[in-house]
Amino acid sequence: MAKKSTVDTDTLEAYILLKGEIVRVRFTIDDELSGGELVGVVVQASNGLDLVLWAQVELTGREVVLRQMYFEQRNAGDGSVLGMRSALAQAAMEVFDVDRIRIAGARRTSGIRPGRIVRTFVFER
Amino acid sequence: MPPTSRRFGSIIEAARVLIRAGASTRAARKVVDTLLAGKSAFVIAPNVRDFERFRSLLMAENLAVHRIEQHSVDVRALRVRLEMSQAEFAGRYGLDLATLRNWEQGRTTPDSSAATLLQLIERDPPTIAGMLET
Repeated sequence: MAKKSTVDTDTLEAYILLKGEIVRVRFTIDDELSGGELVGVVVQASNGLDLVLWAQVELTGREVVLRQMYFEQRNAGDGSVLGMRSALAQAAMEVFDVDRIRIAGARRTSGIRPGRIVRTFVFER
Repeated sequence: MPPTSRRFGSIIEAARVLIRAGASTRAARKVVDTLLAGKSAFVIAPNVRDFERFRSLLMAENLAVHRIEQHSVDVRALRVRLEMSQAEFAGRYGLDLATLRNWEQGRTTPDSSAATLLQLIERDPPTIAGMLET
């Protein structure tokens, strides 16, 4: 279960339980990458994860759809997003107050085979 | 702007460089999409003051940069140098006569496509005329 708090107007914070440890996750809207339907979000966790997401965002009711999302880990090797994906989604739903996140057409921009389109993911509270 | 290899540095950092250089968020995103598709991309970056720095920032992300610089052409001076009337010049280079007159009299300015054509004419008039002949 993620717990929400607010750091400043552009940063939202949540705590998640990950493998028995409490991890703080911060979501910061990246103004530089955000404009129109495009939104950039920096995700930083106390276990070292440092990630940038950049997607077309569509909010329908309590569902948010992220289309053509790019994600780039800025410190590869420190904290892998793979083992945290579901927990991060739970934290994001908590802080952004939505019940469902659909990620459609995400692309790797770093690591192995940049440009590869990842399958659709749906996360629910 | 072609990728120098399939392994980019940070494509999002490259997008930031473009946005800081005056590209819109959407244009920068389009560049990223195009590069990730393995193609070369074109972007207008009006705020670049130091091209070498701009180039080095993108090179750091494994992207090669080529500059296409536009300058305004004095259309009337070019036409006079070629010893052509307005009608001849417009006819030879496929331009609208009224538009040419507007440019010469400063009522309007060529858009970026027309400016590119005028630069090419200025550089090599007979070759461009030959290329436009049917």
